[in-house]
Amino acid sequence: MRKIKKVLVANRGEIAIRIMKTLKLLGIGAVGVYSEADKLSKHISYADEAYHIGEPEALKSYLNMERIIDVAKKANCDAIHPGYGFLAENHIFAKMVEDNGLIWVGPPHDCMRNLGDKINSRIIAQKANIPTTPGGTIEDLDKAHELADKLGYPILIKASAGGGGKGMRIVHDSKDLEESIKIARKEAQAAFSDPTVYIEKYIEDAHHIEIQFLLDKFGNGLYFPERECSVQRRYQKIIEESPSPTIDRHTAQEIGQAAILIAKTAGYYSAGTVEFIYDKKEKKYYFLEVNARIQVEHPVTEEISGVDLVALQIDIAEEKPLEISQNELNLRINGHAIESRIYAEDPDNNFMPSIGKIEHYREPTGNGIRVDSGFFKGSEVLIHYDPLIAKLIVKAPNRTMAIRKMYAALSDYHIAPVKTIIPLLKNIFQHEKFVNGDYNTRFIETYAADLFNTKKDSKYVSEAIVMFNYLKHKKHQAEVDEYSQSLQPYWDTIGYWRG
Amino acid sequence: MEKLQVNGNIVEYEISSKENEFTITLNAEKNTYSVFAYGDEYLLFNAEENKFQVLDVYRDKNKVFLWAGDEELLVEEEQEDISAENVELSENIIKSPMPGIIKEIKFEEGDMVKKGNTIIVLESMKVLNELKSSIDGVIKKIHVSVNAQVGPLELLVEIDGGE
Amino acid sequence: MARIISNINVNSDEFKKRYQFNKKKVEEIEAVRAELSKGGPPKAHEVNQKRRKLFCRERIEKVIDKNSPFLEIAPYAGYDMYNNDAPSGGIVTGIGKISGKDVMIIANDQTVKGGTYYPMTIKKHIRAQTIAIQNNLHCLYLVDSGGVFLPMQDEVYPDKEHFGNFFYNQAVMSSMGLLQVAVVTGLGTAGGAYVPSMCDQVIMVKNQSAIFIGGPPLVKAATGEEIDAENLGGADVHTRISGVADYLANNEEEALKKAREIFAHLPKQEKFKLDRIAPQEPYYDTDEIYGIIPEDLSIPFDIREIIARIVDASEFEEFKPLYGQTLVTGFARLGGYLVGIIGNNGIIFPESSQKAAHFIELCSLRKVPLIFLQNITGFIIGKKYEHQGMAKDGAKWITAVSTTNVPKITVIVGNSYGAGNYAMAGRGYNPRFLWMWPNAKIAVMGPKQAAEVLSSVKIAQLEREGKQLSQEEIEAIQKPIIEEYEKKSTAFYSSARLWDDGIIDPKKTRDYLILALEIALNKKIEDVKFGIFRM
Repeated sequence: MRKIKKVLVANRGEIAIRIMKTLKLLGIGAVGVYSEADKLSKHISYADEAYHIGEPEALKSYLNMERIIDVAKKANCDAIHPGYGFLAENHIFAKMVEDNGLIWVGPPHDCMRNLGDKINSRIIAQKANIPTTPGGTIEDLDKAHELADKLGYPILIKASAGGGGKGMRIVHDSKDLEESIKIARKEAQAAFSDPTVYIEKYIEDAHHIEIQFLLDKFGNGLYFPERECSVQRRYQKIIEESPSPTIDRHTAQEIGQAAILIAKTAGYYSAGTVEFIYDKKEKKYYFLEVNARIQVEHPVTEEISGVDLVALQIDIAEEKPLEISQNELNLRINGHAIESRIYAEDPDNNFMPSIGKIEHYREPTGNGIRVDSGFFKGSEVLIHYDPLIAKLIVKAPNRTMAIRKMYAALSDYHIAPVKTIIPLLKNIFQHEKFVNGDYNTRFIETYAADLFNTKKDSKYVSEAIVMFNYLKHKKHQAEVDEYSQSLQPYWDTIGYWRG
Repeated sequence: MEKLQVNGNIVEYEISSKENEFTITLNAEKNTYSVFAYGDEYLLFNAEENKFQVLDVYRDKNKVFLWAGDEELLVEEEQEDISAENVELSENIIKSPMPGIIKEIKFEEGDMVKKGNTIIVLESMKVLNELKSSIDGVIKKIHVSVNAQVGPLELLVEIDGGE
Repeated sequence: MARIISNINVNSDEFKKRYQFNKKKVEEIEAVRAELSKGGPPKAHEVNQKRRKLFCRERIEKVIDKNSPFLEIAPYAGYDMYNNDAPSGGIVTGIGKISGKDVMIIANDQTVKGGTYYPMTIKKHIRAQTIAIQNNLHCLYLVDSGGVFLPMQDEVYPDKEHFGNFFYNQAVMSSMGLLQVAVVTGLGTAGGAYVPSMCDQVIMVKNQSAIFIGGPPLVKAATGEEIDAENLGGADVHTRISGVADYLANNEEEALKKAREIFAHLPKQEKFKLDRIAPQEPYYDTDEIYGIIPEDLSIPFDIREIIARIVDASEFEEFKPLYGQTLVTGFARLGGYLVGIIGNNGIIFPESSQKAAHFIELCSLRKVPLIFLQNITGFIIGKKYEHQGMAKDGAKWITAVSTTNVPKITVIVGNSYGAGNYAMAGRGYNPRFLWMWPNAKIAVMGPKQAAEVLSSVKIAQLEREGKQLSQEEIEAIQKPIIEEYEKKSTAFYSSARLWDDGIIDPKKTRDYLILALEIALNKKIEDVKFGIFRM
């Protein structure tokens, strides 16, 4: 056992805030870092102390390993929590942290190296007798062509180091293979400082199912109910729910145990997620990858289990054993949780990022509604980083109620003038196929016509027009008032005057 | 008759007001609302219908964003059709589809390009976007350089399609 | 708004003649005022200087903000009264800015009979306090007074609006949040002791000021105790022993500086937000007013010509221009402020009365202040008009003018006779300010009418005795009546008795109105509640 007293959170936005909130609950000091562009951002205000770490560009700030370690030492931290993204899955950094006498809140770095490399992780899964999607590494272009032809197009190129769709390319034709590999490598380099990519069979009717697990340093493991994350755009998840409407409880248990097996085989501890592709038609699952970090969608699991995953990450980093058993955990699970990612993008304009200042901001509140946000009124959506404004998580006794609660909460989430994907999300939660649980990873492209550029008749046209006229009138009045106030009184301008 | 654009649709109406009371005639239907302000939120009371509606409002120059019930509405003065400009800017130019940073320019001025050739790689939100030529032609002018930050719909490259 | 089209020919002989006449009138009032501003006789000034005391007007100049206006109230008080022993009534009052605050200053003139109170001194002091109450002004008293002028005690001491009313007003204003500050620069004896004592904050000057209920002579007479003023109630006594005063100053300058500091620490006065646009000078030259007012006020002139030379850009939006044309009503801007103007263009008819009531209602609902320009000889009489209900139409107007919520400011530019004076917001109707032009006249009726009414009684009596009077004999009876009336209806006569707040140069009317308007805005305009309009 060792005690952590002060943690540097090497991240920004909502996840930095979310971690700092838990640190506060545990009575642990929170140290924040910020780039030049983030000096007015919300996450800093949640830190007990915060340090400037460089220029807006991530490579010169949030990916600047030496600088972050320097700050951690200077601020007398005893641990670093990386959040997700940035350096979260960088095993070199994890090792550097430990070499500098600091605790890495995450899995062991050699395990990260093995799992973080997707090629290696497939080998580990195969060792544990868990099926993997057909595919392989790219040694040279000829071999890549050979492998792709063998798998049959379309194939998928993926960044070995990453997740979240970055560095991922779908290739339909062999003539595009070379160019796509090049682009994928560049993106991978930009996002993860590692250009390695690999090829995988592209399963067309696929569900994205993943298992959150925890392993302590004493071999105790817990797996949580599966999350279904099949609603994606540009390979990025926008909606996650747990449990999945796609698989039955028996399969869920089977996949859960498979996840623990893989993690143990890899020598893992801390929190992690094993992603699977589930072929509903064939009722088959394939190991996809291990995310050796806390994930964006972890709140979904927290909501149905009542567990604080970040707190348990800290416990494990402090070398405490897990206190509950799988059976106890199973008894705690109840209800249904859904997460919507609120991105600052215009869904009706090819998800064009909508940068700029959030002038109007109102979050939904209520029982079973959780908002993990990195913004407040006046915050700026910056071009340099991921445009995730917040995550909206709801929990209800069952899926139908959760969907309705999510729809109501999205209606109460008011953001302007920055555009968000809220209108798209509302359309999804009203879509018959989604409501029936009948959707896969191609849901958005399949039903694009129902989801984008939908103009419905409004019930509130006269109210809206009245408001417009009222505000116009009021603004005019305010301008007149302001103008007359700007005029100097006669008493102050006439000077010496004696009648 | 007055005109406004509500969610992109032109709406014709008549309105009169006395203090905070507004009477609107829309589609031959007449309603009177009393408006009460509570910060950014407003309460509209329709006495005849016994209806209360809370509106959350944000005003941005000449646009008004409103949230009522489960709807988000955008009210603005009637917009002039700017599509004419877009038509003129036809296939022989490449504009930035979104704000971002120019990562790579694959050709130089005077180079021959084919339809589908990637001309520019634009990084935005950590994703690389390939901007391709939609015609065969010669690069006439490149308006940006590598590492330049560009806004949305900024002119990047002009291509001479010949003829 | 449209610019008024002027029909004045500035090159006409009539214009030039009137110009000369009125210019001379203005020179006359200014000469009188210059004389009155000197205060008491030279000898009194010498004594004052020997005591190293400032003259009250110097004190005012030192206490108000540099390079700012001073709106003096009733400078002609007491003129031609009391053998001209009390110039300006022996007290100087007016509104000035002190550390940016609007303050009514009431300063005793110690060179006039030791600053004692004549009946007109009392009236002027109360008038100044009334203006402060009506316009939410703080008050500064520069106390240097020996109390009431004993020979006239019956005219200054006992009645409702006599000496005692001062202290009542001070207590009321203090409760309204209007700061009452006294700088005692001389004696405050007997009743005079209460002016500083009733103040919220009091400053005294070492070896110069003293406050006591009974002065050394009275103490000696009553108790045999011999004591000098400084030891009885001097600055040291009151700031150290009695606590009657709060601040001890080494000299007058220091005391006045302290007063400025006190006002500097008051919160900013919140003015009523009257609609205002950028101010503009009148299009027509204000100087031309001199060429418009006739020497003989029985000759009519168009009040619009006056309005055109007072208001911004000479623009006037006339209300009901075609109805009741003997009264002119409309909106204009003064220094950018929106005002309603009511002016006379002849005798009042039932229609003009109704129009006036209507216009006052408009301004009251919209909270637009009213400016009255009086040139009125009265209401129309005769069978037709009595039957038409002139009296009740006049009553409507008087109801409106009495119960309106908006500030009223009145200028008597010509005649002010009979009930016309009342309807046009005369003194009895509480206008915030009321000024007269030099040639203006005020009386219950014109001298000729008065002479006819009064002489007709005598003539009838003589006729009963069988005496037939010749035209000459009738004129002989009427002449003294006319002379008496003419004397008692002049601006000087009026201003000496505080029927007005001063005689002003017509050319400066615009300045007076705008300055007064800004003072009036210190009081919030409440919603209107009228009395019954007789229908």
